[in-house]
Amino acid sequence: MMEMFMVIFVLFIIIGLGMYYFYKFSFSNQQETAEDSCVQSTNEQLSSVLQMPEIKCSNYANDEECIDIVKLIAFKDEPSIENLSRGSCKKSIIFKQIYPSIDERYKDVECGEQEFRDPNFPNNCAIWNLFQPLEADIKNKNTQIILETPVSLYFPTLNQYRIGRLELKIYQK
Amino acid sequence: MKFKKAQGGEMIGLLVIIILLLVLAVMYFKFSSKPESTILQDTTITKTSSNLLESIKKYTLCTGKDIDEAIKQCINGDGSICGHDSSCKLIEQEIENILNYSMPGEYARKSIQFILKDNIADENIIDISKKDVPKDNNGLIDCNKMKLRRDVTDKLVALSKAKINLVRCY
Repeated sequence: MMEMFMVIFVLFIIIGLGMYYFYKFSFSNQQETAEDSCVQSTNEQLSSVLQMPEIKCSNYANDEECIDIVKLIAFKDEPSIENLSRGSCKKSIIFKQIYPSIDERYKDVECGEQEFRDPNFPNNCAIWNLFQPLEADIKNKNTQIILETPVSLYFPTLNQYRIGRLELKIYQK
Repeated sequence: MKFKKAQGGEMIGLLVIIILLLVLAVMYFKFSSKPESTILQDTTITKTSSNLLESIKKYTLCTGKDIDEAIKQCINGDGSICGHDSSCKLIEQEIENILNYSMPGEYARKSIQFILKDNIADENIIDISKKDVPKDNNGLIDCNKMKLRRDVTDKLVALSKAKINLVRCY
């Protein structure tokens, strides 16, 4: 009789442990899947952002493979920009000027309307923060994954093309 | 005697259950671990290479002159451009800087190469890569020696016989 109780007791412990690890494993698996799909969708966005007519260069209605800086500065204040980062997958969208290299003093300076009006533009700033999630949305997300691609930046006021980079920064737990 | 026999039977039963559970656990972990897909990495590499080549072609060297134009001049027998005697030398210098600034990690790791090719003569006009990079018979970086995969992305230069290639190991 005693042995039977012992066997049943051990069996319950094994089943209990099995259930605990199963749920723990399936939960972490779900979280991993969500994070993977976030990276995948952001990777697709790496191409789609460059195709947005709001910021893409165009010449007499013909699209060109570059980003128009004047359009970029104007689009930053549009309310529809919120659509770029919906759902739980939080990310920031940043354009950076890479080459010709910018003076160290201006490498972290964001290009706004004030910098744009300066006669030194575009040598007085290097960053265009197209979209930044709210501080509250990324509060507990300490991991950052950066997906990036080179991009051609067009400065219509100078009729000049420079080399830039599009960075999509994903915030994860 | 009877008691001892029963005890032995239950112990064997318990042992069988534990072995069964262990076998199931091993089988589950064996079949659930899928080999990692490389599709995402492959497409990202091709996409970034294509974007970099497009950006290089458009890059303004001086007022009204871009690299695309300098390439056409270089492939048609060289000549002066933007105050420089040789368009080929200027391209080489600028693209080396662009690779260094836009792909600093890859450039330092010697896993990136730019080639300007005469598509008709099948001849490399410009080859930009670090000096001691291992190359194969076609003059491309030998990524196998670094135990890496290779991506070759190319673009034709419009209205010319030039083709530009970007070779990357990843």
